[in-house]
Order: sequence, then structure tokens, then C-alpha cells
Amino acid sequence: MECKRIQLHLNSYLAKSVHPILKEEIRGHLETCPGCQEELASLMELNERLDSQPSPQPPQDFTTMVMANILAQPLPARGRSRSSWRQWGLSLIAAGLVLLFLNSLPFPSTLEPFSGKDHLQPHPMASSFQSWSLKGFQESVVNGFFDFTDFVTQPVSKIRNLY
Amino acid sequence: MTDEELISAILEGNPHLFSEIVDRYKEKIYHMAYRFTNGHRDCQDLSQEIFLLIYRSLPSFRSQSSLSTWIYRLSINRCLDWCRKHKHSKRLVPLRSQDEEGWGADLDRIPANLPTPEAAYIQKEQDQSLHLAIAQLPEKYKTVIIMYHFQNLSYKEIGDILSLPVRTVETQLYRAKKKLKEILDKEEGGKRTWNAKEYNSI
Repeated sequence: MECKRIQLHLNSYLAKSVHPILKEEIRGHLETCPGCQEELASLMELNERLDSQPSPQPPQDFTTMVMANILAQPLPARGRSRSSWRQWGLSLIAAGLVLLFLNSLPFPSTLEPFSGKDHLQPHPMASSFQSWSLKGFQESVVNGFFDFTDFVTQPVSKIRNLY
Repeated sequence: MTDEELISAILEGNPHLFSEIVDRYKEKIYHMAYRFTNGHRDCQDLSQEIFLLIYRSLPSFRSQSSLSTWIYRLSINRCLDWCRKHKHSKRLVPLRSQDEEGWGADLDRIPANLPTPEAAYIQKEQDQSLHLAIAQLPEKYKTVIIMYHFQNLSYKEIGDILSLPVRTVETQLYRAKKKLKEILDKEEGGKRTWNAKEYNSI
């Protein structure tokens, strides 16, 4: 188990990018572990081979060839990318859901102005909560749904027109 | 001219300035395409395609990462797409021989710069077997080997490009090399013995 953990860091150890404490730990382990010593040696050999691999060069006229293709293309248009429009669409749907929830709450449509005598009476808001009923809830959901679709479909149609 | 200024100038109607981006990255991208295609002649077309993709995607560059990270990300993804497309027609290419389709021709042209013909021959043999071994690696292992050893990117840069934590990059590189050694040992046979002098030099 210890060897596995040490071997995991051997590449970083060779690249001298391990923490000094870990470096000392690895060094100490290597002094007593022939298996990890062998692992390190073969890793060094592999690294040497990988780093000495020849690097293929592009043809001399590579830039010219690429630019010939590029200049035949229309200039890429600035503006919002498709993904940012998608993000807007998601934000609008989230806003629609919040509106739907708020609309489903049984708030009174109008509030009476506060008068001096009313301080002993229940507040109109409290009475509306008391009059919560399944029917009222259903109406709110239906109204909320139509509000939601009205709200969401307009921006979506605008987005579609862009493509 | 900074990267942002360069991109703005291109998008404002100076596409010829894109040649500066091509010049800055062509060697890295070409080498990457070469490794992912295992020396296939498509590597030139693939690297050209990558630059075309970069050009078309310029408006979506948001400076949230460096231009090089963004370019590497697009390039790696395009190379991986190529690999997936050609998964079933995988062919391994010996470096020293150029077949009728021109596979493996590029590295064959590179001079070995070694003192004797024997040394040059041995070097080429070793390069060839390593090339073939890398070609046999699973995609994710091949990716980290190419990025770390052939693109000289750090763990942090690789992590940024592949959206992986640094530790995961380190683990993948460890496993990639382990797998690579297994393939090489199998094909070349024999193992190297421990050399105390090398160990003491670290």
C-alpha cells in the first residue's frame, strides 16, 4: 500500500514538483525499497524516451494554406452565442415558476385602507389566509399557469426568430 | 498586441491577423494532431480543420481562460472526435516505413543526428516501438501523455484544459505510464535494472 502511494508521486518527484516533506518521505522510502527503486529507474528511462521523441514539423506553407481557407470564410459574427441565449431561456423559465408560485398564494386582490377602528379587527390579509380553499387554490394554479405560459412563450418565440 | 486585442482586431474586420495565431500555435497543434492520428496523413487536414474551428469560434472566446487554454481545449476535443470517428479503422503506423498512403512519413524525414548509423538505427527502432505503444493506449491515457510530454504542459494547465483536478491529472499520468511500460515490456521484452547513480542525482 505504501509503495503504491509512493509510486503515484514518482513522476512529480522526478519533475521536482513535490512538497519538500513528501520529497523526504519518498527519498527515505526509496532507500529501503528495491521495488520502488526499480520503478523509479524504469520511469526515468521512459521519461527520457518520451522527451527525446522527434517532433514532426508542419509544412513550410502551412500558415498560407490555413489562411487561404480562413479568408474564404465569412467573418465570424460577434454577438451572443447560442449557449448564452439558452441561459437566458432558463432564467426566464425559473422566473416564470416563481411567478406561478406567487400567483397561487391566496392574497386578496385589494386591501382596504387602514382605519383607526380596524386595529381590533383581523387584518384583511389574515382573513384571506383563513378563507383558503381547494377551489381558490385550483383557480390560482390555472391562472398562474396561463400567466406562466404568456410570460415564457414570448421570449422563446423571440429566441427562435433569431435562428 | 495582447490576445484580447488580437481577437478584437480580427473580429472587427481584419481576418488576415489570424495568421499570427496560426504562427504561434501551428507547431503544437500539428504535433498534437500527429500524435492523436498516430501519424496518419490526415494529421495535416486535421490541424487545418482545428484552426478553422478556432477562427469560427473566436466570438465565443470570453477571456475566462487564457487563449492558449481555450485553443488547447478546442484542439483536444477535435482530435478526440477524430479518434472516435476512426476508432473502427484503427491502424498502427511504423515510423520508419511509409506505405502507399503516406502514413508515418513525417517522422521518417527527421534526421537522427546520431554519431553512427548503428546508433541512428537503434534510436529509430526505439522511437518506432514507443510510437506504436502510445498509439495502443486508451484515449484518456494517450491524452495526458501527449499533453505532458509532447506539449510540455504542467499538471495545472492540463487540469484547466480537461476540467480535471490536478490530483486526477497526476493519477492519470501515473496510470498512463504504467500502461505504456506494460506495452513496451511486452513488445521489447526485458526490464532495465536499478542504477544507484541516477537515483542519487535527484
